[in-house]
Amino acid sequence: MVLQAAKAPNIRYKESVHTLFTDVIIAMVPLLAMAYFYYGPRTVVLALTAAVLCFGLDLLCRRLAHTKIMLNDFSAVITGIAIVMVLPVTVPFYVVVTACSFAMLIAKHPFGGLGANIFNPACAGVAFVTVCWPKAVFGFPKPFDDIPVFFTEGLTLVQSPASVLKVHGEPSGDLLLMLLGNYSGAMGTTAILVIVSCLAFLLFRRTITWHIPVTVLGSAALMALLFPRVQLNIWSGAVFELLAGCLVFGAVFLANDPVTSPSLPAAKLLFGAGIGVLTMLLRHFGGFEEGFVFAVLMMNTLSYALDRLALWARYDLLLDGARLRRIQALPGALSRRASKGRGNSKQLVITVEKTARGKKEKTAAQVRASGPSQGSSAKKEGAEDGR
Amino acid sequence: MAAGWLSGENLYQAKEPAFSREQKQFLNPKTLYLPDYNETGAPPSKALTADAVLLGRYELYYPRLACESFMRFSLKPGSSEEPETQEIALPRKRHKKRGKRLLTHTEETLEPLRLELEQLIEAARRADIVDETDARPLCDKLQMLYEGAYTVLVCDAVDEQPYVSSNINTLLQHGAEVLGALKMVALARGIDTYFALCYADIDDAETVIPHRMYEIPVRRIYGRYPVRDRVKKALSKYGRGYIIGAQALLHLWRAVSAGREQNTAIVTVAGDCVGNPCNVEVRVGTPAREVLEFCGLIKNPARVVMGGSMRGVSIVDLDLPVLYTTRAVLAFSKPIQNPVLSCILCGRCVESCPRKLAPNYLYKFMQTNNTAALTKLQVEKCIECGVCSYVCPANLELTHAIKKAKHLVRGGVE
Repeated sequence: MVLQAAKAPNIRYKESVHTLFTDVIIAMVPLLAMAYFYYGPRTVVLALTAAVLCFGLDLLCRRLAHTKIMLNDFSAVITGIAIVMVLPVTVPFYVVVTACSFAMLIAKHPFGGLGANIFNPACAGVAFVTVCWPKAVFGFPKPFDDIPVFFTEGLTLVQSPASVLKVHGEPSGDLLLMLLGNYSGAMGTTAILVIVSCLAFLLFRRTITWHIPVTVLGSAALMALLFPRVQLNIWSGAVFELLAGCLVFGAVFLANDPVTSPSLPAAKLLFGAGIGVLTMLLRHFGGFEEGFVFAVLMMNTLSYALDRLALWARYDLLLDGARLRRIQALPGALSRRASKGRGNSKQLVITVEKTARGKKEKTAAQVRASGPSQGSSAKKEGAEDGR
Repeated sequence: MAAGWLSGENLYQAKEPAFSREQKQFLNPKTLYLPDYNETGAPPSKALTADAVLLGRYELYYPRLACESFMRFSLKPGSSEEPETQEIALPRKRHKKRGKRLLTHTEETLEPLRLELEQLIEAARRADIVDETDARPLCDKLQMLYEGAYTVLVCDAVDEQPYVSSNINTLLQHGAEVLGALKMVALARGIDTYFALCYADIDDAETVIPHRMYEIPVRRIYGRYPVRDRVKKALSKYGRGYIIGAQALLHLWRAVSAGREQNTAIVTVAGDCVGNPCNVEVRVGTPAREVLEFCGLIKNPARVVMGGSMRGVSIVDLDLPVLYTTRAVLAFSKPIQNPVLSCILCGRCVESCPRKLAPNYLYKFMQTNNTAALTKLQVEKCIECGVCSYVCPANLELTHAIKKAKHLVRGGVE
């Protein structure tokens, strides 16, 4: 019988990195189902293409880097599906292939693969194809159109609410339809209610924390309230900004990538707030109608710095017990010093220092004699009061 | 950041069925292995070796124990029987016909002997009692209690680690002895407030822990796993507290009432390989093999753990003995997987660390031996509770790395 010399602790949490990634894939399946419902089988073909391509490229890169090949590491599959989700269903296959290749071959593996990449691979891939083929990326079909699986030329493409907002117009359409995703937009980013339920699932499974989604959406909403692009009533700007584009989808699936986001809670809050603000700035002043992926990439560069900032705040700036007690004791210490200043104890100390040794003892003796006498007189007074 | 009660981890306690079962005794092992402390000048105490014959010396590697030389003893025939004891009459439980009832909300008051604290200290010294919670001799602890200005006396039955229930089981099974000794010490020292403390969140318990036993309150400590860190804070609302382990109190009672010396320890034998999990009172020095055989193995274990499931050590040699501070002997059939992937910076360890450290960064800086950064990130504050390794989805050995980092920061060679 050979016993394992394992290190403590001797029991482990039953979940692992694999379950973490599988949870995200499970959360993306309902979104894919909604896309299938609105746009037909081409969505599934695109998603499968991207997932298989990313997985294969991931294995290839691991092989080239001579690292251990894990067939149950599904992080690349998430990247593939996320890339397809933020693109329209009519996007040509070569765009998807380019995005996936860029994500795996340039954004992820040259930096060291899983756990060491600086930029979110999915965001990097989408950003690359956005810059290369903006018309293909921002031309959306209407839901329930007959979209063929392979040749999509000649379809009527319409503008999304995000591009209407870009020219300060009011997006047409019912708010309920927008929540359900029944408007022209990217494949997986329109069904807001489904995305929110996916968020609840991921929070419940502890795959992600609340910090990044809440701060991304909160800061974006705040920016939209302060600087609205469309003003029907006071809330309309914020509501349309949140529902249009891939803000909610990105806040749940893209910004929460554990590798490229900070790991300390305070840093996560700053990271999310930065993404929200940068997205709104890019929507206002950027060249494209949607700048979420660029905002994520920009904040990815800062994630380690934000972690260091949070650690600095935790250990050097924030009030640990001793410092808090010192600050709480400050008013008392100041008042004591003030009362000391009023009496002549300070002067007495100075005289003690200045006088010769023999006199020093004398003054010290005087102090000793005077101390108890004052105390006893106070006691006497108290006793007299009592009588 | 995270408040104290939010950090840590909810662990499934898995204390049943050992928690509710009656304690057993296994006092006659074939052999005893006792660490040979000759190098440091303290041989194994006479209480342990009085009825044993030295067979030889062996080199065994016991993790976390400085001594590697063990003495092997065999017990003299006929010496293993229980010594004749003249125990002081304790209040009997009423429902004797139905068998031993564990869950009596006992109303009787204990009337222990009125002894001076010096007599108790002398009794503890004669009986060689060691407190199982902090491995200090009980006579030293009582001396400290005698000298310090303590206002609260606490019997420690906090078994917060999963599978371990040796102290709370001792409190429930030997309530009269444990609480009698507690009251005896409290009366001798003149302390009015004394109670037993147990862990509240035993989620699979079939036995309800009573709130009062023999008129002495049994208080609970709530919260997620590393609660031992917060015991002092929890006691501060009652006054300045002093904690003595339940097993040490049991042995003190036996020493005072019957003059018995401590040569046993109570351990929980559990795990998925053990056929009959229960709490067993065994001789100190009994090898793990005999303890496991006593309870029955139903599978071949892949890991055997001495000590708690979170902080204990995995042993590779089944001859390693139960010592005073061993609280459990656990046998598991599944090995722990190696690290599956690299750290993905998910931050779960940061969330659950009870001391607000950043274990993922400590691990990273430990790999590069960056002592300055380790000091800056306050690696010294780690209490080695093991929560970070427990939650890590990549199965990294964070706790082990941080232990090494602490050693490195203190100036030791790795």
